[in-house]
Amino acid sequence: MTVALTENEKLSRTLHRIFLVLYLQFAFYWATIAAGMFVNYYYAVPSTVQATFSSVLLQIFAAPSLFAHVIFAVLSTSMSIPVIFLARRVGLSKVVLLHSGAITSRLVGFVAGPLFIYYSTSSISNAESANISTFTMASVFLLAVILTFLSRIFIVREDVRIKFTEPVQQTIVGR
Amino acid sequence: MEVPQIEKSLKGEEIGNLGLGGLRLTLRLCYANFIVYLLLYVTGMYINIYITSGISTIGIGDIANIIHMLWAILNFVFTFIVMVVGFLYGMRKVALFSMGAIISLVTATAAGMLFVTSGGSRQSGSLTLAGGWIMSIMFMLALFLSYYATLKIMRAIRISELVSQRGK
Repeated sequence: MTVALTENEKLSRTLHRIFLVLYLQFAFYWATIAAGMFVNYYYAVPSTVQATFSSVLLQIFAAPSLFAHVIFAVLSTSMSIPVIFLARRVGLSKVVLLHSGAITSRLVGFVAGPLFIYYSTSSISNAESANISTFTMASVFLLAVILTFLSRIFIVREDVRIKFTEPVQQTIVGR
Repeated sequence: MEVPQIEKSLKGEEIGNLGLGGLRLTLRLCYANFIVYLLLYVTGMYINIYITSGISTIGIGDIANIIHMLWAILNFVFTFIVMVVGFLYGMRKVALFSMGAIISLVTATAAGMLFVTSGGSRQSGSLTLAGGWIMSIMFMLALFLSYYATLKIMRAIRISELVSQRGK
């Protein structure tokens, strides 16, 4: 079966896919926050944790709340990858830049998180550095949320432009 | 694009009767509101990490708490104005999203009060903890709802711009 799609319809479909991924990303953001609050209220770094890379890393699997927090953080960050891929396809360079920025800021958070555990271990026990690490983690998370929020503005603008523009009659063939 | 085509495209869109100038002004207010949300988040994080840090308590008269509450009041005022604009100028979705944000902010404020008055520390008991939980969740919900209201205003502006361009 051949389906004739105009260029605008093709664009519209891609934008719709971006919207769906963004909804999923926002859901994962929410889950990250909820799990983060569990960590904040109920998790304390055990005295058995050593100030070594492997011991700090293994802590991720030690507490369910911490594990859920990390998993949702990874999932919400990785949602930017399909957005970048789809935005590149429709030439939304600002969206690509904003999501690249969001990924970068989240990567900073992925360093600050384990640093919090490291500074909280009994052998290091540096409360000030642990506080700075937590504050950095929270701040870059919000920065990433803001950047992804901003990206949606450009997607909405493009969506409206397509809807209110004369359709370009370019037929493509597909199944 | 011809007039009937424009009318067809406008179906399901909410541009209201505020006019382009008014919409742009409301959008600026929404942006200002987001800056306030950011400041509210930063002061909240500061209190959480540097003042209470799991063991210490915070009182209602603490300077950091007062600043935090002032941002919350400003947040409420800005969101309330957007809600009223939505209701008065025929933008139902903007009004409803903002109303949701207002309800969330009021609930978050009540929960914050509960947190402060029932102990002010994460180790003060389950009631204090519940206050902290509800406050945080409601803040995020308000942020998301305000964001969707902003997107609707932005969409209305873009549509108004394009329609006026086509009309010329």
